Amino acid sequence: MKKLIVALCLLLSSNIFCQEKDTLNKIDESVKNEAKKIISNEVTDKRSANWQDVIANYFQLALKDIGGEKRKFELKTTLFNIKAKANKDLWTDYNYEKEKFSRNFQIEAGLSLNDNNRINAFTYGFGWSYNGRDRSINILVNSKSAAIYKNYKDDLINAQEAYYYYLEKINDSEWEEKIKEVQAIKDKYKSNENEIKMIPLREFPVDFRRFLSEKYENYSENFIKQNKSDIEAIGRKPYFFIGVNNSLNDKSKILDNYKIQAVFLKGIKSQNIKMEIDFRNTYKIYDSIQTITYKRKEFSSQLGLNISILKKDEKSLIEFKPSFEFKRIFSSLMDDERNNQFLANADLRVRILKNLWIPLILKYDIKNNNLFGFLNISFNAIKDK
Amino acid sequence: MANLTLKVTVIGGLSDYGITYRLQKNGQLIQAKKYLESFEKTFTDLNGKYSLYVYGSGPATNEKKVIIRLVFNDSEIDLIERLSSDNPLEETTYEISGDYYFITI
Repeated sequence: MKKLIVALCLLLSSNIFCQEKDTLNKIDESVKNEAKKIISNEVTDKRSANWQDVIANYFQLALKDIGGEKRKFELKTTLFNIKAKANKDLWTDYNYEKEKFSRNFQIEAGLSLNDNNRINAFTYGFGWSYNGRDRSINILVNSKSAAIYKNYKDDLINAQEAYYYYLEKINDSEWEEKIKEVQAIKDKYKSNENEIKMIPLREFPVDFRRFLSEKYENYSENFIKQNKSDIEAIGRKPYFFIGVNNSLNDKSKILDNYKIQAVFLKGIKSQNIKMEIDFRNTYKIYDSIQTITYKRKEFSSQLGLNISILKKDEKSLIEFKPSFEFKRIFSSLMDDERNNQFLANADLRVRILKNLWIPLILKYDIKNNNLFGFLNISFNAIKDK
Repeated sequence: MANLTLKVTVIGGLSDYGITYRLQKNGQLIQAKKYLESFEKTFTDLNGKYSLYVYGSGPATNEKKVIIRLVFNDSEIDLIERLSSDNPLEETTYEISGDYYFITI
């Protein structure tokens, strides 16, 4: 098993797993440093936490069950990220588009530590997704906002050309400086965020403005509205994921413990609130609490609605997901436990940093009046070329 | 008659709004086309004073990069460098634009 762990560590090029072996403190330090590096970079942060949990477009590193008995570290990535480390040409658009399978094939690995901060379990998994929301592929080129953008650019270029020849015609002694001034204004408005910032009319020199059309002033407002609407439409597209993962420890064999999961997400169009249907089905086999000789087998089906209840500038800050869950236990029932369980769940996620969420998960057993709670911390890292 | 090749390479995903070029001669539009991905376009039989505008967007990802390069197939074209964008131009912003002014000699 140790060889397998080392091999997968190398495969994922994860400094964190390979460098830190013994102490939780060392791992904590490494995670903090990684987090600082990640958070200092710009990341796309308009995705919901619900969406990020499922998709590993970025390397995802997570700490789970903090303060609990099982301290767990997970790393998720895609086959594409691994391939692209060896061949950077895969990032060029025509190659990138062809890598459909590898971009959507997810690989994960994780370690659990015991009370002595020794590795006591290793998990790994694979999954595939149909991702209608991937903005690197689902583009705006034929959208309504693209038509507004074209009109805006045509208007601006026509004005530039007319201005250029006008200055030449009148033999303006400062014509070169004036052309450079317009170009500097254009450069100033180019943004590194994933958005286009149209230049307000007031930014241009007075003698340049008269070459712009009367419609120019309206482009920006129309574009912002339409662009937002076009991006939201992509964000509501369906997402499907199916995957399997396996857990190994010193006493178990391959496929002793595993989980198969299928997730379907679909956004709902609404005026102000961001919502999506969340449907998950899971079948898992794992060690029962009493003994590892008897495996606990269970199936659960969960249907919920993820709601962004607080957002600022299109960034979701607090999300709430009420859901109903049906659970069927096939073997290794605990005392007083029923085969069939109906649960009412509530997940509350709070964004505390740009890409750092704290989810609180409450589960209520409707029949037995039992309440359970779990706390996780997770963040997503940017892709590493 | 002079020739000029425009090469545009998009990296980090697909260009969100595509990449468009506009070739103007003496203020008049000669050719314009929008491409959905990386492209190479050769303009032939150039004679006179031209403006070439390249605009659009890179991919909506953190890895976005667009490289715009002009290749002069002969020495009969003079790029007015003091007014033009860099050649080659590496754009890591979301919106990209390159303005080039040149004249055949």
